[in-house]
Amino acid sequence: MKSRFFAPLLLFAAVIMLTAASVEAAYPEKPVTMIIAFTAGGSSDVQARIMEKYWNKYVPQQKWVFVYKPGAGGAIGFGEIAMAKKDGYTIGGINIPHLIIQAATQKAQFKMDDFDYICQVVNDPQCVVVRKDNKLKSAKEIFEYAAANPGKLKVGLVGPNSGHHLMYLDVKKKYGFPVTEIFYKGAADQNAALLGGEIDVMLGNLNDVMRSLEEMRVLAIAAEKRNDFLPDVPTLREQGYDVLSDIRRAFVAPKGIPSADLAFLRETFKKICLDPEYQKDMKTAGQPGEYLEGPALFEHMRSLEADIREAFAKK
Amino acid sequence: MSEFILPALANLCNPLNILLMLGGLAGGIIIGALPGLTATMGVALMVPVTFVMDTTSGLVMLGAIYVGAIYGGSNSACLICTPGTPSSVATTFDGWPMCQAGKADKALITSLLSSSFGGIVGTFALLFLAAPLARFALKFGGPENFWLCLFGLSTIAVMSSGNMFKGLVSGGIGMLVATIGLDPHMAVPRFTFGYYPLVQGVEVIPAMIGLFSISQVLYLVGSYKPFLARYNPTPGVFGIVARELLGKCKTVLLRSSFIGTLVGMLPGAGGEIASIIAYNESKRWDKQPERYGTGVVEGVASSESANNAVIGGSLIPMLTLGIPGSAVAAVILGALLAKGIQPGFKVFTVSGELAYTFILSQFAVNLLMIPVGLLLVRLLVRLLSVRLTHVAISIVLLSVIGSYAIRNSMLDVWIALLFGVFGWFCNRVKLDTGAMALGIILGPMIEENFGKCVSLAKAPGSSIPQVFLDSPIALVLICLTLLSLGTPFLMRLRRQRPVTETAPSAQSTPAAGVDWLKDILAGFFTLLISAVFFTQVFELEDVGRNYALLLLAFIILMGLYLCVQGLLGKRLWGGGASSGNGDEPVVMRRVAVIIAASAAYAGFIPILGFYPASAFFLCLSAIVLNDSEGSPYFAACLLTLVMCLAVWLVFTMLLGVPTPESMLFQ
Repeated sequence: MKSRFFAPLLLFAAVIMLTAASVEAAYPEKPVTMIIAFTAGGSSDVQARIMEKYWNKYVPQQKWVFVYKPGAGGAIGFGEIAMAKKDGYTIGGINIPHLIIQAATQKAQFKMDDFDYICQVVNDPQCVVVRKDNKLKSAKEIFEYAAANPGKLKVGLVGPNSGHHLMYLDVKKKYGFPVTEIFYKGAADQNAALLGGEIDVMLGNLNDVMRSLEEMRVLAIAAEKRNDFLPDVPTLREQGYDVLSDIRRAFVAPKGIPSADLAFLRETFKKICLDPEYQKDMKTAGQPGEYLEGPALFEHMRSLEADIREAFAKK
Repeated sequence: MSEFILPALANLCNPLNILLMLGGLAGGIIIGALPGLTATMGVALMVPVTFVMDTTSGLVMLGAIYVGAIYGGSNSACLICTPGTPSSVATTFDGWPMCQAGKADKALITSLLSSSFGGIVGTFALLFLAAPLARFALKFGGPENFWLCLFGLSTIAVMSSGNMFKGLVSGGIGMLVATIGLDPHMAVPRFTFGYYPLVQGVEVIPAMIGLFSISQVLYLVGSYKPFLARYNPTPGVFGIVARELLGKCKTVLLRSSFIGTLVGMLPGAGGEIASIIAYNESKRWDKQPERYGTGVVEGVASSESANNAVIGGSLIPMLTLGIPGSAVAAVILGALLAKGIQPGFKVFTVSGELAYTFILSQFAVNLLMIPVGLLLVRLLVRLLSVRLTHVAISIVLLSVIGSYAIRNSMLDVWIALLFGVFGWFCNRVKLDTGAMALGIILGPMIEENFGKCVSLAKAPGSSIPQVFLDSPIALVLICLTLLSLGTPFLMRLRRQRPVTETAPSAQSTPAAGVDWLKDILAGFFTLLISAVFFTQVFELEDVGRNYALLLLAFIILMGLYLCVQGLLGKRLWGGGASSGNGDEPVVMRRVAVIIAASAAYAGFIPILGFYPASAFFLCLSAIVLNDSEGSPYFAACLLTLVMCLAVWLVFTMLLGVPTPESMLFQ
């Protein structure tokens, strides 16, 4: 009796599980294109390549095909992702706040709403950095020196219209900070200028600063808490300055891909980000990893957007 | 240091590492020789491969690719007058004339040996002088880099000494075109003419592929020649070249390698500037500078030794400070960081074995390059026995995939084609495409550093003149620039003294007499370009606008001057003179056909897919442009098959470069 009742049930359950399995196997059934908006070999690429290693571990049947679309500070590549086919087979990496700033100020061909956010993988906080032999030993001393000697301090930024620039405008709004600002094309030029003495202070990403720690001193980090890479460096908040600034890397798909595919991507990326081996690789590569779910990331971006519009409208 | 040398040597003798060096070199040379595939791309494409390798082996391989690719660029520079990498522009000046004179083997072996020599000098600097040189490189800030770029630009005056105004206006046009894209000071779109994708700007490589490769194709197709060049192999050429280089060229080699190392370690400047500066210095100090450009060994030697010396130089600040001296060094830095290697002066102690294995591998690679290169030279000279039409059509194919691969952008393909027609026209009217390329390379750097200086001058107690002049390095560079600008006049003085009695007529009169039409056309072309840019200049603000306005004013003045010179020339020499101007005749019909075919090709790629479109293009153009007596069909099919297969093997299978997407096929 019992078996007659259970047999169809078991069969039913088996069918369900098989379909579920086959649905999972259905996506991805061909290689996934990964658009990187910066040059091959750059920091974004290195991070995505580490992701790829673990994607192959969890989704061994399908590979990623990397396509580099550099130009205009990432805007070209971000636009490509936004305009890609919404079949779940094109995804890409984005940088925040670059993407928000470009959408708000540069007539870019995309909006924040043009993407489905998979997840955030890197949170690279901004640091206040001087050369080792500088007599200013803390962020407080820098702010005080700047106030006492308007324009004297030369501050290097990567930009314009970058995360560095945004932080600089934020600091200026809150604390005055009368200094001379100089923009550099990239972190390498900026580091060279600091070491060569052309600038006195620079605002730089942790990931970029880590390359020349022998010659530089990091005075403060613009994050909520101290960073594992530099546990001795206090946050700006600890020193009494309420400034938070970072550059985040995330993966996105064009808005409107099948919801099952998006769910699969979100779940797989989460597995990768929580994999201890992956976290170890990220640490070795000097990438400050921080996982954040897609919807939460989008909320964070929404909260930044108003500030960004205000900061760059005033300029 | 000494405690690391022996383990490092042992590492080098590891068979895997030797294999990687040989493979990296051969791969690098091929990547470098293909127009459009640059050293940066070759190295970047191989970085993911190093992730699964031992750090030392990965680094050794990347270094070998770097060296091979920079040398490889000279092969196409000599054989088809197309620099394979931007660093080989100056190699075309003498390499191509040598090849035309039937001495292709001599040109290729000169560039091989000079590259190896330059590479070794650069590596010596890396091994023994890394720390002091890195400290020196840091002294180059905004003002110093600004003057260095101007010095680089001033070499146009020497380069085109017979035709200084056209050289200068060409450089100006290059700088103007390079302003398309995002304004570096405001980050707003500039000169996009309402077409948003242009915001990515005119990248150096597609523009150079156009100015050199495509324009060369148009020239070749339009000429009556059946083959690229006659080729008379010289017996014992290796020994002859080696003796010549170590004999009369040793000063040239040493000076050029020194310049290469020095320029290489500056973060802003790379091989493309080093080779041009070295070429010009060789020309300037030569007893008979006018020989340069006619195919002299010294010309090839200076350019090639300088660009390979750049490698060692660019690795100095990369290893010691974490600041890459070139785009390729930046990619290698990325690979190092991914492996958790921290650059810094400590790298020589903390990761000593790795660092010294890498440095010693650079010596080994530069030595191994001689046999590997010799083998490939044997193969490459065969190119001279392929029918010219087929070579030309194949160059179009390589240019298209090469310019696409830089940023995976079809827009770059169109830019390359447009610049090709530009470049061909410029060559016809004697505008200087080399100077234009220099303008495109240096323009953005000049603007960027100029902007930095203006920002620096805003600090209290600073002023613009103080920022620009207050540094000994800047003053030295200013003196060099002035010297460089004065050189054409000095050369004219020097030439006049001994030559006056022999042949005063051969120099200037006939050349000037028949160029009136070209002058008018060049002037008109210049004014046309300025007019196009002028329509947009007032939408800009601040430094971005003033810089563009300054350039426009200069170009318009020069354009007017050329027009007036042409009109005066017409009155003086009369209208009929232009017939006997010694130019090679051109088959306009064939040029028009190849332009139309290339444009149709690019247009059909997004519809048909890359390989089908390429096959159609190769086959049809080979049939239409056939100039041999026999039936063209078999040769056309063979060419199609061979080229498609070769491109598929190298690009898709080996390098994994994506081909353009299409509607019909993937």
